[in-house]
Amino acid sequence: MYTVALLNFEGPLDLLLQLIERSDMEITEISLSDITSQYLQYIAELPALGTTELNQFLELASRLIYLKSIALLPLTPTQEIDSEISELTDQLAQYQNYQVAANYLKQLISRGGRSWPRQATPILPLKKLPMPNVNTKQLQEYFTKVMANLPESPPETTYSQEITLTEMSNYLSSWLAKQSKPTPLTIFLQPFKKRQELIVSFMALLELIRLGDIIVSQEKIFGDILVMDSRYLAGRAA
Amino acid sequence: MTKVNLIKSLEALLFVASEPLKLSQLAHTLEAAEEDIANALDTLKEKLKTSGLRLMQSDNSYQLVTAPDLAPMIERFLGNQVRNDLSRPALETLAIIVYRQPVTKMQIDEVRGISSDQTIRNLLLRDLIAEAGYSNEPGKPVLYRPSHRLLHHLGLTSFDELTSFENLSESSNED
Repeated sequence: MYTVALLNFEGPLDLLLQLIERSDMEITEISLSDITSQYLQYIAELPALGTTELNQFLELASRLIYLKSIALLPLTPTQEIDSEISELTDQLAQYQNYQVAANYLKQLISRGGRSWPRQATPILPLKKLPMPNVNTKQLQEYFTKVMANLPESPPETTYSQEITLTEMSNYLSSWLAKQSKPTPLTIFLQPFKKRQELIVSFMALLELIRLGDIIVSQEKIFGDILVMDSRYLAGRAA
Repeated sequence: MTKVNLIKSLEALLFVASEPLKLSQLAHTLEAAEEDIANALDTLKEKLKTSGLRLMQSDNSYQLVTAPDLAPMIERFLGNQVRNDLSRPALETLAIIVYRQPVTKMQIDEVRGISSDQTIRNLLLRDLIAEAGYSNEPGKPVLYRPSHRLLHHLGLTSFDELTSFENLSESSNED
């Protein structure tokens, strides 16, 4: 995947393992801190990587630098440092074991002794014919009849145009903006004949009242409901 | 059903089926206890060893496959070019899935130290691994297991035939 100076590696752990193997060392604390500078050199020469991958290389780098700093500084090893070291050596040893397992699988596959299941699905006879008393000739006749009865062009379908709440709200506000005085609701509703249009226009009215865009008043019981733009009222007050 | 008849019926059923059959399916079809079926399958497996077929078992499913040593002849007949072009990441990911099944993508990534997204997708596409439900970990990640097809490729009749992970790592440490 990433070829840098003769080494072919698949990820940060792989690179580290190969560096350790190349220097004929065991996976230990000492070998890890020894190899740190080499690892960093490889990272510096890495080709452009995605951020996730680069992150994974850098994360291991920071762990190595930490180990190296412990090795260099006269610190008394604490439990935390010990566990950090053993975590990394364990991880490397485990990865190495899976590499062995991967080689083993490769051997099994390449020895060429593979098995095959059945290649074709057997064709199962139909259990029951849907129309047992019909023969091919009859089927052909019926088919011709059906084809002859087909209408020449597909039937026309009418789709009614439906108005949405937003469209109605916009229409109501723009209509109100044009009115110079409070206007009876009945005038606004006049063009709407369909039940659905009436429902939507009423819902739009409620919505605009809720938003405070319009004001509704009624001077006497059962009298006309007057609607007006709230800006109209503001203008009059000023 | 007598045991002899059960073995004969199982052999015929597995011959006709184009997909691996579950133990429960076999028991249901033959109207016999799963225990008896498992017993009969063991005998069938032994019996087949001298034939050109093998009884393959994985994930509690069974399938008749050709014997691995006949592979060159079968390949000639099918005209197949067997492609052994699994990349190293693919083999590593397969090894983790085979030896730790069922396993999540995150667990695979942890072992490899790098993201295995693309590799897992390719292995799924080639039908070498299969999804095996969801883990109970947070986020319910998908679990992966090796597929029947991988067994065909390995020429094994069961994953039990693989050298154990412990033995593999021991033998490599002795080198």
